[in-house]
Amino acid sequence: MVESIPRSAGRAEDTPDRSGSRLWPRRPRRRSRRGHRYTLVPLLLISSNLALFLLFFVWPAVIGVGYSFTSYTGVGSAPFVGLDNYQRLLNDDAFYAALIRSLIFTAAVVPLTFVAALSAAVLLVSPHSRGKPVARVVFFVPWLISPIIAGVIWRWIFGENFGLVNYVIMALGGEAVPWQSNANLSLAIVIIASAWGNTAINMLMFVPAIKNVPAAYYEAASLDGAGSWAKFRHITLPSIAPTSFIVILLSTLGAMKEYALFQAVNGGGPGTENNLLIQYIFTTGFRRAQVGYASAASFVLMLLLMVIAVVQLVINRRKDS
Amino acid sequence: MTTSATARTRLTRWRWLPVAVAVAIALTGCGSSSDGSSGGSSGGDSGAKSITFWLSASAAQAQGYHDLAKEFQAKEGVTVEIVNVPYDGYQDKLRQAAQANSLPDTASVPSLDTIWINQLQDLSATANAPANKINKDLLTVKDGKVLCIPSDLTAAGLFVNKTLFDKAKVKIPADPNQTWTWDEFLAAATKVRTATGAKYDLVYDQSPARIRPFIYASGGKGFQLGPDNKFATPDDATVQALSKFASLNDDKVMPKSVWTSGADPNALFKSGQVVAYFSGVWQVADFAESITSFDWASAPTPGPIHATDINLGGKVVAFNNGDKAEAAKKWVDYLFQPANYTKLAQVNGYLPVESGLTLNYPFKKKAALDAFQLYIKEMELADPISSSGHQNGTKLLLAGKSIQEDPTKDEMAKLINGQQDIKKTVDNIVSGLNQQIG
Repeated sequence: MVESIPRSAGRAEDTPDRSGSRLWPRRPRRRSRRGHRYTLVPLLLISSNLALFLLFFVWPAVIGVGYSFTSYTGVGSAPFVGLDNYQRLLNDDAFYAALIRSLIFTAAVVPLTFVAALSAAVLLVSPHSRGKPVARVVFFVPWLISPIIAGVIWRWIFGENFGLVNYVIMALGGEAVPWQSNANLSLAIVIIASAWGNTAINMLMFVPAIKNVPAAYYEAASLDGAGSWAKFRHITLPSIAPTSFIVILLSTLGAMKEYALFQAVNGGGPGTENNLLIQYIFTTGFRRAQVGYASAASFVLMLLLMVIAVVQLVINRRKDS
Repeated sequence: MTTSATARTRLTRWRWLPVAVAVAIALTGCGSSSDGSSGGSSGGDSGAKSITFWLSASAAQAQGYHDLAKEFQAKEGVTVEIVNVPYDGYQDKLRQAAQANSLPDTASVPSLDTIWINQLQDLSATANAPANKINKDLLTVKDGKVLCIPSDLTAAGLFVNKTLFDKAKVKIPADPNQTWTWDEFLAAATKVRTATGAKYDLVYDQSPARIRPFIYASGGKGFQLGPDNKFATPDDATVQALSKFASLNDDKVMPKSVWTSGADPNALFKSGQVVAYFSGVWQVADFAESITSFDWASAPTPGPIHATDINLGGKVVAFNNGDKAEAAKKWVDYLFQPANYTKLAQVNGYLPVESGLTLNYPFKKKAALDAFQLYIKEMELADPISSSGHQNGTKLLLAGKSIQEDPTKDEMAKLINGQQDIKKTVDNIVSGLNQQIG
């Protein structure tokens, strides 16, 4: 039986001491001009990002939270209504429907993306694989395509009326499948399309992580008589756990915010059954001019995403310890 | 204090300097221009050297504007940057542009919006110019100010795949005075479908304006404003018509995907596998160019009550964008000068808003020329209720209200999808409309 590898395996040992709230590494008592550089240079390097973050995220977010307590319509005054928007939201069936659909989509697309990306990465790293350069291109192309274009492509493939898949099914004597007018099938198409589109970028994160696992572990495991699956299960997976965590976290946040693909594949349909939270916010905010109410829904979504991120962080830390 | 401590204190004091500098630079860079115009600055008080013109049209129906823009540039020295915006979301885009103070200089808009109505220029001089002979009934006038001039008239109508009808030996009525009823048409379409192996009887534009003729033809009055400027609960005939319409979406008569999931009816009809398509006159120019694999024709709108949805194709407006305003107004005036408007109407295949023009539509296809003749007759014969949708919109607008998002499309999609019953659908449409009126 191969023992699981500790989580710290394969990490660089020379990381600087980050204990305490220091902004620069522990230095000798006599500070030189280099001390300035250790503070000013990093600050200078992040200053443009920080400015953009404050300007295009923090400021609009604060304004948005402010609007969530008003009945603002997008123009004119913003009358204060207290918690009315939040109370309305708690009694809004359409909001819950959108929330549940978002959670279902996320629960389906994240594992699928994870498995697809990890499988592709393992194949690309494996010494037994052939045609890796071509495979890299093939795997990476979907990520280069805009979600709207990707949606149109998948709509052509799974078009209910004249799509490629239904054409083949009917040519083989079968019945046309309602890919668009059946809510669950329609959602399944978006899940597959989303996993297809996001595999490449996650695969790129996995490839170096897998390559960084020390070969000595595999050699030792081979001497112990471990097979391929045992090595993957007990060496590769624990060693790439930090990367896996990031992939799962980013995929989860991305899935909860999916918009373009749904618009392009099924327009949130059939009916409104595949309206996710972002579609719901867009419709109420921009189409129905209920900016205050949509801001409240946006704020709830932000809290939800923060909770998901914190829960995943806690689980990850517990595993670490 | 030691040297190192002093240095650290100094460092701490200046730590945020780069951040402050970057923020200041970013804020300076994001400073808005004072004129609020969307295009480049002109720099002279004689007006701009370029203006923007937004519209939403097929390539065929945008061509006329491109041609006139070139002539306008040659004559006035002002470049007109034409931006063709997708129809779905155009109204939202205008609303967002108004909120961001970046409206175009001129536009052809689907409908006016109370959000930006106060930023419109008065087009009275163009609208009332005797030479232009613009139909005054079509103008939207508020406080003596002409807010927009329609680019063209539109009417909803039926297109058929003539090749399939001929193949099935089923006749299409030629005279709108002796039109077919919806039941007769659907029976004929089913006969054609089964005889030719086509896929569907009909595709139908997913639009509140397009569903109105179906309601009117069945004797319903649709969703109308009451004397209190609120939408009233519709009559039973309307409810029955909507129920019947939903039942037609059975993947035999009509594909469910159009009204429930946004499939493109235009593309479906062009596949040649659909017997008929209910849309409108604006398709004629496009069909004349793009349908080559089968013969198509315009057919009389089914009855029994002869009704359509008469509307304005686009409403041409000029926004008050600082030093661009004058050039914008000049461009609008140029569009409606009879000689120029004649070219525009001919190239774009418009039903004209100006009288006394001699129009020779440049279509080679007889089907396209016949279609225009048929639409003109249909509009003459149409029941007066046919223009009530447009009249309701104008009435609300002049009362300072507007319908930003007609809920009919979404609510009908839910009905067809089985998410709700007809009663809830009608209630939601009425309450959704009234909610926006406030």
